[in-house]
Amino acid sequence: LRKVISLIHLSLDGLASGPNDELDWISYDAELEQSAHSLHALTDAVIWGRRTYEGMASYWLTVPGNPESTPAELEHARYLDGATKIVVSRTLDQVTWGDAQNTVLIKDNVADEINKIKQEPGKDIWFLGSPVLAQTFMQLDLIDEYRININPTVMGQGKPFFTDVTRQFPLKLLEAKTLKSGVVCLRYEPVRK
Amino acid sequence: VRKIVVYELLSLDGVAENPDSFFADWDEAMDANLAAVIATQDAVILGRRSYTEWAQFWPSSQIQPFATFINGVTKYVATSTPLDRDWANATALDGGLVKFVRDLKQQRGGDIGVHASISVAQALLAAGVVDELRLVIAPRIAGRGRRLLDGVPSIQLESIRSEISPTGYLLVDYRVIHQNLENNG
Repeated sequence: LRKVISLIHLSLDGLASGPNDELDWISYDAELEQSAHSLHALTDAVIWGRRTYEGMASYWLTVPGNPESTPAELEHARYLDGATKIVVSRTLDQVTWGDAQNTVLIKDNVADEINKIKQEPGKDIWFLGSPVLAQTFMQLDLIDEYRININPTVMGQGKPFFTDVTRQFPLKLLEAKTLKSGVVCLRYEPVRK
Repeated sequence: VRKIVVYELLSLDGVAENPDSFFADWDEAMDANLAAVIATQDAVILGRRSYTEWAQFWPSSQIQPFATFINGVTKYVATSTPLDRDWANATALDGGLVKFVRDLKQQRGGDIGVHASISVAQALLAAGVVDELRLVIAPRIAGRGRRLLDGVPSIQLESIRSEISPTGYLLVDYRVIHQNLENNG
């Protein structure tokens, strides 16, 4: 079965972004980029919410034509072109990605649709959603691996990743690695009975 | 200088309240970690609620090394009402918590621990008097309960250690990077 792998950068107080969606507190460096991009080899599809999709499309489609793009950015843009882009949104009517045909729109029955995709052949699936979508996925038990990068900062104010998860569930810690920047990269999988 | 060290048991979603409900295991690495934390402490600050619970539990407990430590150590309790339980070496702290801890830090001695006592930890973190955060993070989403870092202002940290215990708990220690508030130009 294909796994849904969630990758998220958090502050130690569990916030995924600042009060105005700031991400500048993330200790992003080559080491963290390399750790995140290890998912390129493992996955061939991504799951996004509407806003993540719109942000991704407006940035990554411009990367190949931008002479300032770094090799790592070009690699990620190529990965996104090839990956199936699964977008969860009630309000969108279509999902486009340049001329690419490999997009899927899920408007409702999220659990059924995702579970159907997990049965299909393919590599694992990279989930990168807003905290709101992540909470929906956690409540529905759709995430099979949590990759959580804890940054050495308490932000105080912002968008919490876990807040509306009211289900208590056990996890298994698969790996913990501290980067030079002090980011602790954790890998957990849910323990299902 | 003696350090203020906050030691807390958390779930992955940051809940510190009632850790018994999400700590399913306790292994030798967690024991050794706790032993190392308390080895340098000779004073502990407790909140009123933790004091009331612990004063009933620890005096008759044989859970070592924490029982011997917490029963013997000097305990200052942040409370506005007199202590009503008979627990050795516990006194209500005089005056405001933050000023008391700042003064205590200037005196000679070992490190000062904050254990459990969520409100005390939050007040001391907010006041910028905490030097180290030593966390044990359970592999579990608790889903509900008071979170340690809710309502705490922005704080810069330096990660000084992370280790996985044999049962999959994360032992992670941070040093608080103190901003120089006097240096306003």
